[in-house]
Amino acid sequence: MKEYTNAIELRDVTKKYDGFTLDRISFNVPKGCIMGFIGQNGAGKTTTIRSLLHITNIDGGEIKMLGLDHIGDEQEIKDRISVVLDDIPFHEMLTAKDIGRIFEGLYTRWDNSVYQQYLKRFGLPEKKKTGQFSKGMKMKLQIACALSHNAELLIMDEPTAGLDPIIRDEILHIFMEYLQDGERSILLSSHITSDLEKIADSVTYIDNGKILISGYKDELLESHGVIKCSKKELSNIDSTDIISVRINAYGAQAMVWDRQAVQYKYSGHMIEPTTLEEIMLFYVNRDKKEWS
Amino acid sequence: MMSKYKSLLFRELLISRKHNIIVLVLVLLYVALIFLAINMTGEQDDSQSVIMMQCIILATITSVVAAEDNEVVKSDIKTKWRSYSYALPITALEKTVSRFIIRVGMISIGAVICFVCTAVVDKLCSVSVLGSVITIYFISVALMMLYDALYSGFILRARNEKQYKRYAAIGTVIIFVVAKFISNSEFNFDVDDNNLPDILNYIIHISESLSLWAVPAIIAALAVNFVVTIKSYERREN
Repeated sequence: MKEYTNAIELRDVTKKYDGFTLDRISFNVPKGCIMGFIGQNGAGKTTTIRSLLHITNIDGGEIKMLGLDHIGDEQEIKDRISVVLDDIPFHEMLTAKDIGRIFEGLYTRWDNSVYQQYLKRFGLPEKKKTGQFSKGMKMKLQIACALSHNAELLIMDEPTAGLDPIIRDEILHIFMEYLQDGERSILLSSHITSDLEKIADSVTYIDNGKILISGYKDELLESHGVIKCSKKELSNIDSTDIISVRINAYGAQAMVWDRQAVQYKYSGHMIEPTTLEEIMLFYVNRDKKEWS
Repeated sequence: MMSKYKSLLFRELLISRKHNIIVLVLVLLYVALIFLAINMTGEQDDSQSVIMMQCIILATITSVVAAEDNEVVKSDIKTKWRSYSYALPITALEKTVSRFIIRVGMISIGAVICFVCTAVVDKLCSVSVLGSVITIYFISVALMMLYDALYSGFILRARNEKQYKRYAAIGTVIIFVVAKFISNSEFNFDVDDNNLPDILNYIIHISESLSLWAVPAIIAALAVNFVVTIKSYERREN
């Protein structure tokens, strides 16, 4: 097996639709890392994942997974990765036992005992038809399948959507356990930024088909901050230090992209730590400069 | 690789199990009705024509239900399995071969039921309709496979249920237009359609003239259907 540094590499990947273009996106998911992939609805997250998985053809660029070409070595890649999509792909007639039997023949490294353990852990009945499962149960089943063949890379599109906070927390914990050996990687697309803050090592933010930020989560959270001030005080702040400003009846909140430098520059102001959700909101509105 | 085929076959058989059982039961019921009719009517001339026509109808029905798409393709689009399967280590060839194993299996089972039933009828009623039944069965299967190649060529382009319904409607209109054209063409026969022996003789005459084409037709239709199916699975979504 070929050694690799990055589980996923995208270089200038382009995909064109009427009215939307995935525009020369580039980012890497290092081996052993959980990358959170965030963006608004329609930003291009699912298009990116579909391009990675060769569900759709790209119009330009290069994609590598596990150090291999995503089309030339497609079968080898797919045997070594797992996918969880936001649509549940199992026919309602099938039971969890049937699905285990199907996947056992498809993947060379399928481990039925691991699958059984996950079914038990998630409380999923083996012999009940999936048509009778709730949405949350179906998603847990998909996750159980994804974790049961020793995949080196998990690609997940909104895997915790529709799950209650307790199960979400457990699943996030399972994802972190899964990466403990340092040889596995996860690309996790999610709207639930609080989940990504819990487990992601790095974050890539996509907006309108373009990558806005990509980097280590802790570095992003450390480097960004929010200044809360009055509208009058806002005029003293250099606009090049600001990403965008949210105005409300009480004053202004300005997000800065270099907290340390800005702290020195405007020592009279308190710069508060921020969250991934806030970073996303302020970057989305960066063209407006001021918004409410 | 064999384990992949086993898995794909297992999945398809599970999903189509209900449909296959219903079809099998209906065909066997029809066979039972034929033998019931033989039992009740004996060897009268008129009833012989009816029994022979029943065998021909059995061949037509069985060939259509055996060769038709078994709903798995549509359900795969509906459940988004089709999209998901691109992320699995299965090639287009593996998907196509496993579908064909099922279809050829169903066609073979249909043929066995039909031909055995007709052979027994021939023996019991001292008639000879087996040759025509075999030809009609093969030609019908060939036509169904060609129809399915056209139809599937459309519906396998569908990315979601809405697109599937649109393509299915277009395909149905095309088939209807073609069928209308054929029915208005010189294949229209100059036979008294109230005279069953006349109709029967005409059908037997047509089937005898087509008998040499039956096997090549089914092979060609299977080949076309195979190529269309594999191309459809190779094509990626928009």
